[in-house]
Amino acid sequence: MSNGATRTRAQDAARTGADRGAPVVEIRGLSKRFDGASRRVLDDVTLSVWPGELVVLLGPNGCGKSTMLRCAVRLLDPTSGSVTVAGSDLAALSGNELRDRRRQVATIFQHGHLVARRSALANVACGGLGRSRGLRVAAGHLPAAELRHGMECLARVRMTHVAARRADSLSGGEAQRVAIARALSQRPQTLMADEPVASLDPEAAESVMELLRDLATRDNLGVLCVLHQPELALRFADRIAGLRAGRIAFDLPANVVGAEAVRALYQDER
Amino acid sequence: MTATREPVAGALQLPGLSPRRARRRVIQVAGALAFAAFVVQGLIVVDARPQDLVTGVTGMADILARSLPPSFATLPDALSAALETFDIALIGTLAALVLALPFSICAAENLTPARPLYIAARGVIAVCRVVPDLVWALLFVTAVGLGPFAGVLAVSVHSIGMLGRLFAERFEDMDMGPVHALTLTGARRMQVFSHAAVPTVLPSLVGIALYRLDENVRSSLVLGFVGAGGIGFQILTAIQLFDYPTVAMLLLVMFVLVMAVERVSAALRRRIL
Repeated sequence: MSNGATRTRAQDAARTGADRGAPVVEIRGLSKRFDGASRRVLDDVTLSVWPGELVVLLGPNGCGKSTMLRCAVRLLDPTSGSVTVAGSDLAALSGNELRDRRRQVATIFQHGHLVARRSALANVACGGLGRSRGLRVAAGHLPAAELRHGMECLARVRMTHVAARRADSLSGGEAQRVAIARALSQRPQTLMADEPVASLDPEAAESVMELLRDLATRDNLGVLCVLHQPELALRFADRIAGLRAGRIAFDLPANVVGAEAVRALYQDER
Repeated sequence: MTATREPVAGALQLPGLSPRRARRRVIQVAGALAFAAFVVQGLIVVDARPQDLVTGVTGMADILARSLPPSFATLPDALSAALETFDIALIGTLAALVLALPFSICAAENLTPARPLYIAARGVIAVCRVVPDLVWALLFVTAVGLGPFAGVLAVSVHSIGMLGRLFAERFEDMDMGPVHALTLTGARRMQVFSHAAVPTVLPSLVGIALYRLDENVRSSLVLGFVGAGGIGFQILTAIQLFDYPTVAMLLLVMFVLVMAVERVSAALRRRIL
């Protein structure tokens, strides 16, 4: 909301380590152990995302990337640690307070997770539900203002031409862009993406990554994106955090991360 | 995984078969024998004597001859009774629908607001379903007297059980992706339900309800026999009066009614799904 002062180019800031204001998301000491498991899937992970930067969380399969993202948005309850969004700890909130904070963090997944039988526009407008109250909305009605805003969000991802189409008729890439539009209709400060291109063909993957890049640069969103493709990470990220066996192995500006460090992440993979 | 294991029992070794295959063969044979024994006990217990059917066929022919031609004079009565039977099913299904929905939401593991509610809803649904509608009808006849209203109550209570279970299963099987996605946007529980869950499952819920209506038309026919109104009650009365032409007419109307409802419900379901 009041990020005027922090509109520095994230790359520059990351390089110089200058004052970048407050991070949009601050993950501190996050650990997760699943019930009955002896090993921690996440072990003391600390990571912050500033407005306007695209941070990629990189690592081999099973290193805990997705678990981390899920803990960060409270789809899973972390065993310990905190996730600070706009000054409050998501991990400690519940009920209305949690819902309010969640609105500022938008999440997209490997698949669009759109409601199959509704139009793309209706799906996008659903992103604004958190702002609406009342019986009509609770009964399935979408306010006209949200539909208008949904159309703007579709325009932002260049998808207005599919607005009236049913979500289950969209291709994977189209669905992912519509899902991003739904995320934008939340008016978030942060966008979390859990392997957003894992099930897309290379061309669609490219365009989704370009869109995420653009949202960070032009809309000043903080974007935290889980990926397992190092080449995409190196091309699009401002900063790359390498996760290996549940621990942060490195957290460096993308232009500093060497191929060596990336290879080391994948060495243990069987 | 590949650790070599000693055959457990050397006695199972059959010539030309590996121990594992031999064991499987023994299990197959034992299974077949057990199944045969099961069927034989069934035949004994149900007192199956097909020869009686052959000798008794003249009795059936006799009753058929006495029923023909159907009494067309009773057609208007039969039609109004058929309407009553259909209405019992219709009102019973609608009432069940309204009540089954909240029960099924509580009884779906992924949607239930609280564990105690889940257990309570599962319990109610099980009781409604396990007690046959015929027994419910007998109970309600003693409460509200003979007539279609007892039938409506019986149909709806039993249908709460049937619909509740099928709806809950449908909710549990649904794709939770959109539900999680909307939860993460900061939407309220009720909003997530109506904007993500309902659009996803609505067509199959309507399909299940239409199928239930069709089943309920058939069961409300039978309920008439225990005094819960409709065409079943008329058939019972006519049989007791040995008025077989009227029985034939009623059966004819019933046949048309059941077929029509079945056809219409199937056609509607095809359109929705």
